[in-house]
Amino acid sequence: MNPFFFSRAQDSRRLYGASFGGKSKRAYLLCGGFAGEFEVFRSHLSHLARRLAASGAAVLRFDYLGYGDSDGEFVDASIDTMCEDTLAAIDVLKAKSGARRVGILGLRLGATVATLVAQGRDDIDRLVLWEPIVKPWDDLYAELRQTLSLQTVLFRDIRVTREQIVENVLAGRPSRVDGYDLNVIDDGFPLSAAFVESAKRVDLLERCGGVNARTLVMHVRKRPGPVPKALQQLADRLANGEVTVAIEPSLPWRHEDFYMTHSPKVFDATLAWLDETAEMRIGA
Amino acid sequence: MSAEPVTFASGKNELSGIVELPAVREPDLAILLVHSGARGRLGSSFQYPWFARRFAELGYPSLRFDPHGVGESSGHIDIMPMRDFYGSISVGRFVADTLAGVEELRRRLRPKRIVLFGTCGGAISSLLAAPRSPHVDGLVLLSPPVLIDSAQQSPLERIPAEYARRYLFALYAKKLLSPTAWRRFLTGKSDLGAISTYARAAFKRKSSNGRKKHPRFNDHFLEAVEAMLARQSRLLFVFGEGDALRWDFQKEFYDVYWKNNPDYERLCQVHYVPGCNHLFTLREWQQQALDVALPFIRSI
Repeated sequence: MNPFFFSRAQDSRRLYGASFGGKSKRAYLLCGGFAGEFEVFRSHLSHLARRLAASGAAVLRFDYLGYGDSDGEFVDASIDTMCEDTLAAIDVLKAKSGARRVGILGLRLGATVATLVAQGRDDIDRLVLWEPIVKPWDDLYAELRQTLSLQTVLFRDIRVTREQIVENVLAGRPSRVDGYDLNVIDDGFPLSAAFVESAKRVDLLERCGGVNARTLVMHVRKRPGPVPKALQQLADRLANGEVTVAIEPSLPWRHEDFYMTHSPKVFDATLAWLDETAEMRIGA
Repeated sequence: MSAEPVTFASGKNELSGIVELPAVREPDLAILLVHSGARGRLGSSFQYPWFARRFAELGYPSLRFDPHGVGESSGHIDIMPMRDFYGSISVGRFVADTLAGVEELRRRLRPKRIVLFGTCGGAISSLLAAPRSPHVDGLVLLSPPVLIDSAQQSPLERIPAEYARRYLFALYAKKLLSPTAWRRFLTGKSDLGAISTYARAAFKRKSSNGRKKHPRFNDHFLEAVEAMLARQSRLLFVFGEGDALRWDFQKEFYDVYWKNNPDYERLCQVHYVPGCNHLFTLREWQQQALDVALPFIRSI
């Protein structure tokens, strides 16, 4: 594992990255999820990076702007900046590995970002999308329920509704109550107007048309069950998409009943698919 | 200010971390940000990089790192029930890594004094590691657990009675007069399971045998505090007022060992952050923790 900082295009702020493995024609970029999901799944991605590197691949895991050890604050991040960061990371990975094409493996919002970035590019040959968020705004708006719960614990009441929080964020105003700014999501990550605006613009079902990469959409759940309609539709609309299901004792991007630093079923299925498709060309 | 990625050995594992350096390093004191356990060197809502940058702005260099098997550090942790994992941290899972972090900080920065700073699992790891290193001069412990977590506990046992009473009062007192809340209750839409668990926890019977040590009390916690006091080291405890674990601390540790003990009164401080939860997830709470920690650190 080789940790380092690298620069974003036309920006002095640095991103943190960790590369695994050396020169290789097989190169993979790992994209983390949103906020707390990024924190929890970071161990999983490093575990997978080591497995891929042990098989001879070159791998890069990185922190988005405002995330983890990268420069910036969380409010600096939006889906647009996450896409820019991913593009910068692709260049770094290609330079380090010597590979002409790379695969991108992304979790949740990171999978959404990977899909957006892959549009119209022929140097991204494979995508693995673990539980991609098809409509980020719907998901994030639902996630704001946690900020309501936070208020009931703090104030025994809901002082600012989700609608008011969104309105204030977009207007650049704090949602100030008793010294707290409640423009937060996921228990404490500050929301920015740029993030909300970028999330509202994205609907993967409308924006996956230009993706040529061979793509695996993976639905992860705790018990056997059907694939959600949106993920099936996404796989159907991708030019080279397929969908599968993996079952784990806990959802690996959350701290639930089990502590997990790796996702055996998710990663076994991912590695098997990468092996199966290694020699296949796009469109084959 | 600048940040530099580093790797260092802890036994057979390679740990990954970041050294954060101030532009001007004034005091000869460095801070080891001891991983939060489950979330490694980032902590909840990226609080460890945030703390590190604030410390650097004030002239204090720091090292934050992932313990073995977590984040980017090598090593393996088997999948296990969450509470067993927390329990294993409370009895020393990451103590050797913390000591390796102290040595790495000394090797790189050669500070005269070192303060360990950690939240939850990082706090208990700091406390257990400190007596084993002569180079630790002070501890800032955010939400250290005094009981050992285990998956064998019932939900009822996990909830301190005082916390359950306040929780029920905070959430449900107002709802007693709310027709909507009663409608939800009578139509089975309320979370009856949670209400029942908290109600039973709030009014669970106390032992009739007088004051007995809690069966899950962490003796390592007490031994480590007393060892630090014996060498005149100073400890700052910081809890969120909304954290269930503060009641365990108060009832099982403060009331029994600390209260009326002059050594504790002289060398230990405890501070409660209003409204704050267990992991200090809001920046406002992190700032308040920092405001309390800084005078303490400056006095080391």
